[in-house]
Amino acid sequence: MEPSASWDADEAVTALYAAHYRSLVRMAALLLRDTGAAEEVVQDAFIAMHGGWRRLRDPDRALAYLRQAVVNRARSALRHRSVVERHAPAGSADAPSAEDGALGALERQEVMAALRRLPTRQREVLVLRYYSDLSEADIAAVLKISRGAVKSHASRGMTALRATLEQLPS
Amino acid sequence: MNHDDPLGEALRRVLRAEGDEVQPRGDGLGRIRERTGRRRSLFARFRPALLATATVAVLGVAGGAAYSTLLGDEQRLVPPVTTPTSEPATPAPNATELPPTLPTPRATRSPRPRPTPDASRSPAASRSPVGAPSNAPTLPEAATPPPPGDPAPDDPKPPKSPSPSPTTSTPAPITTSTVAVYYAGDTERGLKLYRELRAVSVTGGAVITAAIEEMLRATPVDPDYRGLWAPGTRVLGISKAGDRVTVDLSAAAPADTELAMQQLVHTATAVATDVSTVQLRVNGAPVGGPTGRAPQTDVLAPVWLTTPVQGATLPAGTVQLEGVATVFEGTVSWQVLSDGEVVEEGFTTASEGAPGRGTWSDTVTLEPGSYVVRALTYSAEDGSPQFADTKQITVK
Repeated sequence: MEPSASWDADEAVTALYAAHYRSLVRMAALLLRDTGAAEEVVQDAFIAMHGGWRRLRDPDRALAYLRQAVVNRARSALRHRSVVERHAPAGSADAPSAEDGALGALERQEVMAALRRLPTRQREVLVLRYYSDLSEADIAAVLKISRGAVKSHASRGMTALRATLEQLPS
Repeated sequence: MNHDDPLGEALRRVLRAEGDEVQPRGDGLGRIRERTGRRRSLFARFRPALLATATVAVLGVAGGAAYSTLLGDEQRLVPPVTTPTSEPATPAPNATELPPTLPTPRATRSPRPRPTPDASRSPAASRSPVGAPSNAPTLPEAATPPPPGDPAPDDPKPPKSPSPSPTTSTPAPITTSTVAVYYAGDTERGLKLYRELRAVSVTGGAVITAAIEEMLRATPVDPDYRGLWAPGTRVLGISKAGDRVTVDLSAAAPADTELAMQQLVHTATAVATDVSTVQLRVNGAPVGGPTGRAPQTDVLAPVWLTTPVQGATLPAGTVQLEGVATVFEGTVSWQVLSDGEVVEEGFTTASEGAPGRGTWSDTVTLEPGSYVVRALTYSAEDGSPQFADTKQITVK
């Protein structure tokens, strides 16, 4: 396969869409809790990436750019969201729920609720780390914060989650 | 990254499970291209709307079967990579936007969409015979006492006597959990499922049992709904092996057996995220094969009004309306009626339009009084109201 340096912006969008659209939407949905809004945010990010392709010229950098754009846009969408779906139950859109995870529904519900109560930065760090599997350095680059800050957000977030989980019956 | 941290692993699994439930619609690439200025034919530009209309028309004429076939493709979403047609002279026959084949970006080794985890839900998947329940790891199966706040148990008989727990002699912890229980209700498209959230007592973590017993025993709070299993049907045993739960009941469903099975499957899989199929047994004898959730467009009512709940008493002022819907362009309408007269109405957009299923919410300001709230949609064909879900509420 011809490497990507020769792609034009349209080809880059198509290739990155095929490879990453779904996982980016899922990441955004974990931050936003709304599939429709997540898709909009990711589509906006692709459009911005398309506009900036001349500068990016590289799929790795384009992917990092996409992640950054998605996280930033999700954050501002959350800030502007008027209705907080605080008491909606887990799986409120009645999505199918067949997973490999051994965690029970209750536990999962509690973990997600606790995650949503975290400050934005902590939630972002945990989603990037445990859903997107990014390294500390990558998370620092996406969020434009230091690696030390990534560490401290992660550890404070995990401490809060641990406190929640310890209250659950095991 | 540290993979030894158990909490980290738990979080990883939860996020993976939550993420896997997110199913983007299949037309993202088309929407992006429209906005990045790629020229497309006029028809292509309006295609989503045309198709949606066509889909609704098909629905009206041919009923659910054709509809679900269309949806089946779209819901899978994974666009099969086919012939490159970046500038389609004629519209593709498929509803889904297909990305042209393109060079693989180095960043990833697998641009080709992998099968979704949902593939395993298809009825064709895994037809292996059920393992003997005695070999299967069993759920903690202590008896579930009737929940104290149970709205209206319709079973005239006393709760069944507790079956002794085989594994533990210490008293199992009793917790209260909120479970989703499915019931059937009439719609313009026939009998479909609705969902009620119920608080149940769970003994020793046997939350599947608690949910199924609630489904069998309790009357739905909404009088428009009904259970499809005969009153008095009891759970004789429940065992779990892998992602399959075997449920042994004392009687088969008297009618609407397929939807009754879906009522059971939806209730069981909603409460246990690691369960995807249910094997029914009646008095020990297997009935049919392992069954997963049917496509939502086949079995779920198109419009749900989940908040307020039936019979709710709410303070005057702003009243929150919430629900879930599979409707054309996500447009959900609502009305508030007093003495049969519409006193307030409005509409909102669900987070996803058909064929997706989206959540919706809106608010209305109400003075004290008794009201009927209903959520519905209007037929794209003739504008008639459809799929109304109604709740009676009191505002004080």
